[in-house]
Amino acid sequence: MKNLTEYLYPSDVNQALTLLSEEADSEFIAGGTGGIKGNVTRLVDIMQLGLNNIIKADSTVTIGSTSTLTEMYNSALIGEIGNGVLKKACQLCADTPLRNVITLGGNIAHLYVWAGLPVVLLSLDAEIEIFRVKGDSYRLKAQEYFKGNGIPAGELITQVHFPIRDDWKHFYEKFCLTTVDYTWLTMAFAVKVDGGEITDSRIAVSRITKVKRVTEMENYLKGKSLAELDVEEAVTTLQSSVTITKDYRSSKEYRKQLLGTLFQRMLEQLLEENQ
Amino acid sequence: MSLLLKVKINGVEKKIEIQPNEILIDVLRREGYKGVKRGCNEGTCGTCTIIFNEKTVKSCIMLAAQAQNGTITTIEGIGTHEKPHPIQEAFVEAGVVQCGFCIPGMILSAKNLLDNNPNPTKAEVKMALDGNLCRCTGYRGQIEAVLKAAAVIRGEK
Repeated sequence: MKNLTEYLYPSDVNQALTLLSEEADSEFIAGGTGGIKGNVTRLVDIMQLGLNNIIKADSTVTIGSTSTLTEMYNSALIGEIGNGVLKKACQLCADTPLRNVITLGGNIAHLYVWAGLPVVLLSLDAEIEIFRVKGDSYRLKAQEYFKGNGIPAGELITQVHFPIRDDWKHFYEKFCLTTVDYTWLTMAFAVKVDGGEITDSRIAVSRITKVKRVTEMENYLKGKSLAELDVEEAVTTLQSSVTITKDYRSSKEYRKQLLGTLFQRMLEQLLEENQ
Repeated sequence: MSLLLKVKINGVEKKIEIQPNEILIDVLRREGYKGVKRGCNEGTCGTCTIIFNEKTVKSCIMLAAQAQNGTITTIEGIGTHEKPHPIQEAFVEAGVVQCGFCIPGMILSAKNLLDNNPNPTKAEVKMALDGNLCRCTGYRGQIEAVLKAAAVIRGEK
């Protein structure tokens, strides 16, 4: 950060985008836990833009991008999303002082491997709303957004729309050694069961690979009867559908087994709850 | 280009000249708040914990500029040698301070919890202290001390 010479406090979204566009080496800052690139000369603080509202309309909860994990965790509306799966993710993402500053937008803007929320956005089919400097905005489905490399330069995530989806079963796990440890594997699984048959599902993983939905696995599960579900085969299918990247902390084989174990526990819980 | 940071620290309005790239812990310690301890310097250990706008934060990973127009409480703002805060008294009485380096941050985390939730469960205390690592003890004593302090603050003991 030795090049940082300007820290600015805009009062609305348009002003924030304009200030960002004026300087080539500039970045937005919200909670500030994600780190700042060495060449940045201007930071534009977005915490005073009023983007921390959490509202519900029909069957969708919309969360402002500068809502902190603590604000989300404490909101009753968040508990309604995915039968509490987003609330659980907010708790497991980090420790209390970090949850007090980490924001929803910051957690998804740059595809950090340790980020805890992207898999939940994928499993819940969330939509991300983004503003551009021209003053227009657009929505991107989480699946499309996470195929890219994060927020495009000069644009700002303003809010995320979450369908409530309480008729699905939802699972979320972050595997780590302590509460404050960086994640070893983060995973979310959502499944819709109708008449004992899986009619739809979402499976998303991160840290062991670039955050992604595992559509091969979703296709495998579609139409499967819970009574006849072969858990071992399902686990093997998931393991073979994910290309595991290098991690200095443990071998690929270990994390492949970890992926299988966590998914097996989710499936066993699903079967138990549907008996 | 320097900035003028307007911030209330331990109830006192301050105007401090800072650089945009200065980290909050550096500014606080420069201003004399040496109870803000530098441990890991990467947002893990929690020894630099302060209360900022009624929430605990780790000052080693926060730019000073982020604190503009905010309110900060450091350990210097809680109790005195002559009249310690009930949480400080509970920690001393329970003998849960060993090297002491993590204690200012832990006390502030506990205070922030009890300010907002005067009757916490054990699980809530554990969650409130989850950002403060202690390498000497085993946390059990501190958790019990916070629960005892809560009872004192509620006027039960």
